[in-house]
Amino acid sequence: MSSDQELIIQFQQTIDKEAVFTQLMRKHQQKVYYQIKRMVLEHADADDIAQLVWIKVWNKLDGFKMESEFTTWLFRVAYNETLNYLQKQKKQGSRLSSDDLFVYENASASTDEPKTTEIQIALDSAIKQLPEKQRIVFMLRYFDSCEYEKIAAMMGTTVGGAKANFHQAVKKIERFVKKL
Amino acid sequence: MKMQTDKDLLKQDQQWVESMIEKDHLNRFNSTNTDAPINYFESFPDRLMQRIQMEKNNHTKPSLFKIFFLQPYAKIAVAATFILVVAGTYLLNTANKAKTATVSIQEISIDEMKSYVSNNEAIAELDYDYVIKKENASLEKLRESEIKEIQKAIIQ
Repeated sequence: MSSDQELIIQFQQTIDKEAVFTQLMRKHQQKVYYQIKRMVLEHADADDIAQLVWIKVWNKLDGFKMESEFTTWLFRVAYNETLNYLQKQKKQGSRLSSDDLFVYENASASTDEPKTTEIQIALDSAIKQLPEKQRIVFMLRYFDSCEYEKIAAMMGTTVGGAKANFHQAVKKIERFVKKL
Repeated sequence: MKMQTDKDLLKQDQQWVESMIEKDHLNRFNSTNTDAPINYFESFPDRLMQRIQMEKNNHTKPSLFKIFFLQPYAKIAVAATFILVVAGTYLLNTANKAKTATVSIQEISIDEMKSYVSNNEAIAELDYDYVIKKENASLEKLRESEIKEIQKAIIQ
């Protein structure tokens, strides 16, 4: 498989951009989608945002100068688009709550004991209630094993800022889970 | 003292989280939030390319509403151009009108008079009367040869 850099150069030089872009998209679409989905939790929202992200990439890729890694830039676009989306949703009133808990209850009810379901719901709520930045840093650090440098570059913050966000996120989750 | 590598730091962070919440719960949270409908990723690129194509087509149609999204200086430039065009057109029109109003009978050539008279006999007579009265012109001011030619043209 061609490297990102090779694909981008091809994209910038060729007339048949669609084929090259599709190749690039197939390579990274899952990671982009999952990063967004973990932030918004709903498939329909994640799909909407993922489309916006790739449209932005399509429009800006001709001017991409390889000064940073393509994936860092891509995830930064995804992060910004998701934040914009969440902010718009906040203005319209939050709609995440009981529906998502229902998903968890259904997912674990068949196999697990009541206590397990309770913990799962608590964890879900705890992560959802984190401020966006803290939630995203937590996800990237714990689940994606991202280095702080990369997280900082993706989110347009400092390494210290990313570390502080992770620390605060874990502390808040701890407080939430201890209430059980 | 040995420097902590990035991997060590990452492991420490992950262990800290797992000391509070069981890894199973965390993994379940992750798997619930990292699933997608069947064939979603297979169809996504085609759907997206269709949307890009559609947006491209929409962008080629000029839209008046685009003006509302311009930068302030661009809006001022558009407004100034509009005012210039309107003012220019108005000034040109009034200048033309003024020009036509100041034409006197002396400025009209004999040939023009002849052709006007032959085309609009009845109206031409009224026009002569009107111009002569309005400008307080007298027939003496006209050269004799010119008067004769006018008379000839009227008779014909």
